[in-house]
Amino acid sequence: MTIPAGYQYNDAVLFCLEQAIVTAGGSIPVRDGRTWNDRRTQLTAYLATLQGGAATDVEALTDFLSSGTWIDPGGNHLSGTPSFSSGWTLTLLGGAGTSVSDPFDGAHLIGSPLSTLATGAALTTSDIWSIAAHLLELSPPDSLSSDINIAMGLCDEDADSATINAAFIGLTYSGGSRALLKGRVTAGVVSSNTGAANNSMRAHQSLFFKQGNGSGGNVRFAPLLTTRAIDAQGDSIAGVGAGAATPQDTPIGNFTPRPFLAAWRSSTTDGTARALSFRSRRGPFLAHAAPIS
Amino acid sequence: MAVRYKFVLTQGLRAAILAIAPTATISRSSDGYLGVLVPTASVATFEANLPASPVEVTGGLGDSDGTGLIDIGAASTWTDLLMEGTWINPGSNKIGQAPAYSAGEWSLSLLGGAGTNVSDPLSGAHLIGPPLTTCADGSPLDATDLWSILLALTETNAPALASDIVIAAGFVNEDVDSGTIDGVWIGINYTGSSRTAVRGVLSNGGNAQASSAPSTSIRSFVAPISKHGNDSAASWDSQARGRGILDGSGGCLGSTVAAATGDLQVAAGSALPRPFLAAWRTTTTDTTTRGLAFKARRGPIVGMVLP
Repeated sequence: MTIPAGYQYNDAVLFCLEQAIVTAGGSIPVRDGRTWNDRRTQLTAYLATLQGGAATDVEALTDFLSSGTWIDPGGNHLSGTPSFSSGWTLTLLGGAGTSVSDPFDGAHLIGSPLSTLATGAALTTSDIWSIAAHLLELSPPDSLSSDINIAMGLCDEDADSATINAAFIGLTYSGGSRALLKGRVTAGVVSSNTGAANNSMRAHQSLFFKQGNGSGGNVRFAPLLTTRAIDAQGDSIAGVGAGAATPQDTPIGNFTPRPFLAAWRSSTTDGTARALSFRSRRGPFLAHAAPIS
Repeated sequence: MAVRYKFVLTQGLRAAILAIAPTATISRSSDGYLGVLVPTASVATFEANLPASPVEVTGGLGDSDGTGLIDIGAASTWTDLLMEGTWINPGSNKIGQAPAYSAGEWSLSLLGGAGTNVSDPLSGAHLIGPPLTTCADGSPLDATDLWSILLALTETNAPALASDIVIAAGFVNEDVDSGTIDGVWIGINYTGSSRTAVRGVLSNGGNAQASSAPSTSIRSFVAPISKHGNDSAASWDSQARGRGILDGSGGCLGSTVAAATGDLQVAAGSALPRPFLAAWRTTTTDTTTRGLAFKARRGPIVGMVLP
């Protein structure tokens, strides 16, 4: 049995396929005792092998950005070229002139726009949408008091400018500890919150979302109000969220988001070049028409 | 003896099954799935009637756009949060017209006057559904997964606006109201001839909430709900803080209606989320029975293992 082009498996299709498999002498992995949903993945995978296809998996985390050329504003932020293996590894220079307050004024990488949804359909920019985001430390700077920020986010232009808008989450290495960082860039101007210091955090989990349909103030783009820190065991860390009182949303209008990464120093105190590595991943890109009527 | 098939319930699937198996008994099982009981004598006829080619099924769970593409193809469609179930009427004095679901919309009326007001969604009229067990890609949702889901509550027929009535939608971690139930919710509050957007948490049965400034333009409240962490203290959050408060054109209402500050997260732990709906009065001022209608919809739930 062939699924017609342009169709996905649906209940009735699988219903018929299941019967066809049984009729043809095949067996279904599990019947009573487990739900059809439990069996669906197995059945879909089985059908994929029959047809030489691959089962769709929108659940998996994907690398946020795994290639591209990092920008080094002023030529005094990066030592060498960042490299990607299972995560990004880079070295930040230290000392005079290396500190900035804006992710786009530090070392950064802006990727191609996310114009395709998890379903394969093209993004309709008037839709509201959300993307789960995970920023995971692989190797901290060799001194936690380095005043270094790493961040991942989404923006609306392909290069830093006075009109670029963005929302981002990050980890701040400072004062011998770590803190969550959450922020926005509105027309090129950054605003951010830092959470309480905690030395156990290893990942920053959040959700970027665009709410509303229209231009400018009719659309808000933000990370979660209070983002969450995860420790090395995968447990959430209470009480260290970055900025419960500040949404850090930007009136951005309908747009196609571009992923970006950044790493920068917030002071010149540390004059030593520091190496670090991190992994940034995202969930599937899902969009919805505004739920009106 | 009968052969039992189990499928996710869709309105279209119900019709499709009855079309080829008119003698089948179709029922909703306790775990939230559709049971199809076919008399043994009819099985041969039933299977002989199975169409030889795929059938498009439209309508119902996972097919709110009516395209026939459900499940895997539903990753970008709204799904009705709950389409059926028996509403609880605590004290037997909350519900007037019994809640009815039709075409994506719940309609009901609430009684007014003495004894009808509560301060907790689950102490008012409410409906708790079966847990969400399937991710957007069809794989099971593991209780320890991190997950996120978009929730939308949309007014379709407002009660008299001075009624002090709240409608809400959210997720809880138990199947009935209790002293240990946890959850997160969003709502629209009709009060003072206007509306406010409300978001709240239930923590061990206790309710906490934050309201926006009033605006008569509020028509919908959209919030991403997320679970963070994989232990017993994993936090559930609904943190739209009013940025998902939409007017009748789908535009965001301004910061003046942003919900008040407050974290409003609850350590609900690694439990599968159960959708719930609620409607309640916050005062006894209005003694008139009020009718209302709303839509509660969700995006697909996306489960992720720890990063």
